[in-house]
Amino acid sequence: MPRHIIGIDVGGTFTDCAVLKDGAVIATAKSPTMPGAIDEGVMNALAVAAEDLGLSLREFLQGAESVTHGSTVVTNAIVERRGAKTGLLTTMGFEDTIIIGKAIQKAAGLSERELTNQAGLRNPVPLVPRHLIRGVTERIDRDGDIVAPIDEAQAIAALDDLVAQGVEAIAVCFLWSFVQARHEQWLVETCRARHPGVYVLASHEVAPLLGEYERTSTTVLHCYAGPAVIAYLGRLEQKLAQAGYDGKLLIAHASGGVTTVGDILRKPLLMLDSGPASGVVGARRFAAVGGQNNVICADMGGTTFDVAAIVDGGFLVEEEPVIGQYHYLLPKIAIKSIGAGGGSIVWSDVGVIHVGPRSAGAEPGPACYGQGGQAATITDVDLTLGFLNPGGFLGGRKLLDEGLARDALQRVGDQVGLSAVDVALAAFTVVNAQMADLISRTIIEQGHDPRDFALLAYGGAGSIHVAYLAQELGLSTVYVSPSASVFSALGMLCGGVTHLTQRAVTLRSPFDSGADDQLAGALAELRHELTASFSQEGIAPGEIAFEPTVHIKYATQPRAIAVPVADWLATPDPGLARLSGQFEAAYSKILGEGSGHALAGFEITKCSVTGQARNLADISAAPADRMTTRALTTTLQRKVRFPDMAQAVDCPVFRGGDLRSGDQLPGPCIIDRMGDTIVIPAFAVGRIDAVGNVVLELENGQ
Amino acid sequence: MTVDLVTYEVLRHRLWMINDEQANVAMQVSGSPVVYETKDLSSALMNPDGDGLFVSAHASRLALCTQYVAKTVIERFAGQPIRPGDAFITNDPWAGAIHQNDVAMVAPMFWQDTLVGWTGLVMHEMDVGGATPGGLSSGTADVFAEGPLIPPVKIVENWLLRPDLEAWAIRNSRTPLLNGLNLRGRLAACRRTQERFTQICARYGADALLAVQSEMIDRTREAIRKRIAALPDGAWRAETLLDHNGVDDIAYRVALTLSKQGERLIFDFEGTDPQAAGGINCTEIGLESGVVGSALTMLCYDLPWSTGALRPLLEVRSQPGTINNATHPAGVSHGTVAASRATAHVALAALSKLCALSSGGLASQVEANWTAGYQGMTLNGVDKEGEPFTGVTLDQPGGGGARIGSDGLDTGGVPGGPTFGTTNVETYEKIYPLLYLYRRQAVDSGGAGRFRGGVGTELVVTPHKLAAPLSVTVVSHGAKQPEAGGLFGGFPGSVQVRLLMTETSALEQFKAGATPNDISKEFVRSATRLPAKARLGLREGEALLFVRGGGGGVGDPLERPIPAVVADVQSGLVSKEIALTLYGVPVAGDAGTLDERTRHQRDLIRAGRGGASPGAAPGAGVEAFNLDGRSEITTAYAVEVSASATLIRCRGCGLQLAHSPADPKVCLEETKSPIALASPWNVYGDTEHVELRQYACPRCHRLAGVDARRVEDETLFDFSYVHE
Repeated sequence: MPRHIIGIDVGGTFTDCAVLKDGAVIATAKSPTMPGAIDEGVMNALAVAAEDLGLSLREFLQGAESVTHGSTVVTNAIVERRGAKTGLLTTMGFEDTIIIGKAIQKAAGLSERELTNQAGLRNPVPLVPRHLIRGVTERIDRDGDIVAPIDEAQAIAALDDLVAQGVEAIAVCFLWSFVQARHEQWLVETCRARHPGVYVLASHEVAPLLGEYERTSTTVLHCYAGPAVIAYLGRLEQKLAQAGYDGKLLIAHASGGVTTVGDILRKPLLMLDSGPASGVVGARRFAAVGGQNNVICADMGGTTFDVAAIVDGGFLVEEEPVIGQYHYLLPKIAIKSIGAGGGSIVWSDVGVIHVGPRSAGAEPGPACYGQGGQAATITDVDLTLGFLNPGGFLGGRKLLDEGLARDALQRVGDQVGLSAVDVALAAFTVVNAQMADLISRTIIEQGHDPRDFALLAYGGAGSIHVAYLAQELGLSTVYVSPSASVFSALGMLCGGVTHLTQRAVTLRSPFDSGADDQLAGALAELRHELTASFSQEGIAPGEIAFEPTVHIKYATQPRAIAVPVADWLATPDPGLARLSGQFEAAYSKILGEGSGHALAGFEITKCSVTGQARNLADISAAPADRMTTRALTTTLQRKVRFPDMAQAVDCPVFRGGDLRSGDQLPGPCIIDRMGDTIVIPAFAVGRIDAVGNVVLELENGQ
Repeated sequence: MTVDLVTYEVLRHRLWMINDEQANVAMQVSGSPVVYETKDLSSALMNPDGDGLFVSAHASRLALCTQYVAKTVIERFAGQPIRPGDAFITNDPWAGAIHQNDVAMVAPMFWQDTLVGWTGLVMHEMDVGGATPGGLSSGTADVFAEGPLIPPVKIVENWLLRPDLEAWAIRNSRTPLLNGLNLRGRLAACRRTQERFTQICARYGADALLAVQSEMIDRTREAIRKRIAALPDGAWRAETLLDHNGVDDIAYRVALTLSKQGERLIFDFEGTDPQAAGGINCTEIGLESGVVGSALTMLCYDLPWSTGALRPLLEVRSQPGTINNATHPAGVSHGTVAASRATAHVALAALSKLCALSSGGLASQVEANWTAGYQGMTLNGVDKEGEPFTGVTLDQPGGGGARIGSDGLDTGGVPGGPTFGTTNVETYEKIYPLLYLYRRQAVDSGGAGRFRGGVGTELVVTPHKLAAPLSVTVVSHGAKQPEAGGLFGGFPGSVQVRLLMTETSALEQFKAGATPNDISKEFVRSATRLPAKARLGLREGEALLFVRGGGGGVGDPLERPIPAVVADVQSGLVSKEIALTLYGVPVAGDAGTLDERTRHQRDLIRAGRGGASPGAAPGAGVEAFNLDGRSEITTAYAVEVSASATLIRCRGCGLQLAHSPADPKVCLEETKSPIALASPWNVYGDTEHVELRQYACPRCHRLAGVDARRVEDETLFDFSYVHE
């Protein structure tokens, strides 16, 4: 008998759960995230899902084939600086490398808007205080030649001293270790032998790439998060076992896919941002099922609006992401954010209505929450315009006060001589335009036209605004998933076990005759490395899809472009000239015709291989015979002020649970669901597709 | 046409994003680390008249360039057709660039046949030709010996680079491939912006776009005007020295009096030295850029950087023929890092003194000066593959100035360049025949203060696996005098240091299994101070030591909390000696508790402050004063305004110091000391003629000002508050 699989995602406010069987969602559940006891919140959400299915928690877990998990535990440890007491051993004379941080940490993660405030720039609170950084006498040069051998006695003294200071983790990073790892290897082996209780990682193990700041920072971040992750996953595994689960715990990661607990213990940073990334993995699956190659993923939550893209069926990757003002070398799914969410504050300045980036957050929250918030927010706007049902927010668990919302908006209006409704209309248009601007920038920066994309909305607040976003962008189709409010938990069930490995390889044109063999050899080694990891997990090579990639740039440029090379490798006697050609084509696609400059020469900087085992679940379109057409009516309605209509109208309202595949919903109308509200304006027509998506077709566009 | 306020806000946000986006496109294409790491570039959107709507935040010193270039093109190409798909370049400092390395491209933006704006990018090129590799001329007297000037020329038609003009534009460069790549970066950016303008016009119409542009300039100007008007009237002064003109080791003064009158700011550079017979001058464009760049940083921290809105509110007074308003054929190749930089430096110092008196948000923007002077080297030689190369090292971040309420940024980078980044040691060792012995934060380089100036960088490099002799050009400022002055009793940061060590034992030490990482450990047998401009050959076994200066401090260092001083000592940012002599914290010692030792030491230091006042006797002429009006407080002074007078008191003890408009310094006690007191690095500067002057309250001995001045210089009276 086929068993179900469980995805469980810890977010800032809620812990979400999705349960799949036979490729279909059989249950979803939400439970509050418990700060300080995240694993408790996880067990609570599992219990809610079990109850929903009429099972005991034990029956529910015993019947599960796998549990896949994503959590903010690493993000919290780093951002709140609650990670392990960490020491750093590095090449003597370069102890300050991670403190100087290339002088870029002060601006890391800031938007262009924040950069103009010079006196507001701050260096990060250090992950490793200066007195826990020790220099080791040793030096290797760029060719891997040993300029000064490691002083073993001095190194051991430094190591023992750090342990005596009570460090729980030690990062080891020497100059040029990715070319010659001998010194680092000796020191981590020595440390593991002398101090088996200390969590230790060397930079060549986690990021064998050029650039000592980023390599050090990556190693330190892994170490800083490591002990917290070990403790957390240990507790969770124990709780699951006590509750009757005897299967494998899989962990969602930000590179897009899932992995084993063992892999996470070696590279804890993989867990960073795994929730938002899982949403994008879900979107990729959604795109594949729906035959859509290009999808914009729009996730509007309480404080931020996140945008990612599926382009040609794959997601975009960020090579050097930032967390807590530290850079790290671990490719992750690229997601862009602006401060535009339900909590974003509406304000005015010399007669103009602005929205955000400040947010009222969860406390005090929007004015309509009645928790003392005085500032008008986008949630207050959505309520005042009639889009939100005051009694139906979060399934009726939160009552919204229309009077407080209107008063807050009127306070803004008094400054500019507008009514509360006019302020709401202006703010609604302004915030939509800001979200649309982020989307166009994300898509256009990749050399694409947003109009060639479908829009997929998820997150609690997005589906009210999405039709207007699409109109502003000139898009014709919008999808809202039936599981939009637990989309990350669902998304982590849409991928498979995925590993990525990468290595610095420097090759410059004109390429030597042996260069292509050298490249192919490096890729083969990486693939071999991955095969070994998979086989430890019981996954045979035949079940793995490998994606080899080579990073190429014009010789002097800073950033390389990832060029997929599976086809290139399959060609007999391929030659690097062909690879350069592939790079130039990809380059001019992104940056525009005529931006290439072959005269400047080419440089290969690194190669990487991703391996993905088969998907956890086979999610596909449900059979078409479930589709029926019927005349749909509703007796529910509420007064809604659509921005595109001259005045408020009595708008039909449908309950999500009453809708079936095949239903047609001409705008204007509204769908109230358990976790969200979908607004279908007059310029759009809604329908429910075979798998339960609400699809909006816009008359559009420009 | 007028535009509704919602459309206004929608398009305003969109244009802002487009300007950020085009800078990113250019950086992604650029192959020059000066662009993609140091972020020495600026992008701007302009209206059809060439007035700036948005300037990117990367390098505020370049903020005005594109606007200038667009206006020059509009003027010089009047009567000739300007069509969609055209773009123009120039590097001429009399046409919009600051020095020849800044190559600017501007392009008209069209909707059908209507001109709807301009866009532009200026980016620093690694080399544009001329006698000295890298372009910062050494040993040449005028512009004819520097990188060739490219007056505005239409290099792009129908969005295609004209091959003949491209060849001409890069022919003189030692790095033609980089320059070619950068040309394509600018072109890709301008073209992207045209696409985005087309989308806007298709959706909203060209009229709406134009209406939003003028509305935006009006509204931003109004917001800045209000900010200025709310500041007190008066005059504030700042001065700095430029080192070495590239030929002779002469110092030049840049002097500024900033007057605030009603809604206007007047920047008067009277007292600035005549233009130099070398490359350190800048043109009027460099002068205005320096002023505008600092005013944007200070006044527009949360407003769009719209030069079109700001510029008309500022008046700049300067004599042509002076060092920051040089006339052709003065040498200007160092412009950005010399006279223009110094202009921005004094402008920020004077604006900080003024804005410290703000009762609004501007006080939070006050910073003591950062170390402004560039210091780096240009390398020229043969790489291990036998190919000639020219490269620049830019890995010495300076220290940020302290703020009122927090310390300056340690190894913060450059002022006005928030995205400036340095380069990994591994990146330089990979492409240049160098080995770094160490690179770290420079102890004692930040100015002491209640809030400490950020520290700079210290490093030593030695040639490694040389294929052929290495030619090195060293360029610096802040060698004779610490550039980053303190504020309100804070000390200046250190000077910048360049030492050539010809007989090092570094290699032997490596072989013996030691890491040579401290110059005091006698691995230097000979060290020569290099002047602020030097060109030399470097051989294996020799080494260069650099120290990049730190930022200025804010407030009397004797008021810095003891734990903060102890933490600085533990982190290697402040030495025990400076902790004792400037902060009065005897970290090491056995008599009594640290608190007791500190109290005793601080009393001793206060007792040593004293001496004659530069003006009248303390309190002379000050009548009894009843506070019946405003009271504004800076870190140093309490300013009290009543109907009849404005009075300035010591913030520490309340002693009446002066009536407006007299500078309170006339009543403070002056103590002169050798400049080495402020930082041990200062003995490595050419500082024989420079002294430290401390100004303390005659009653409580609280420091209200610290100046580094040449011995012959008069007292810098820098604070003149006009009673309204």
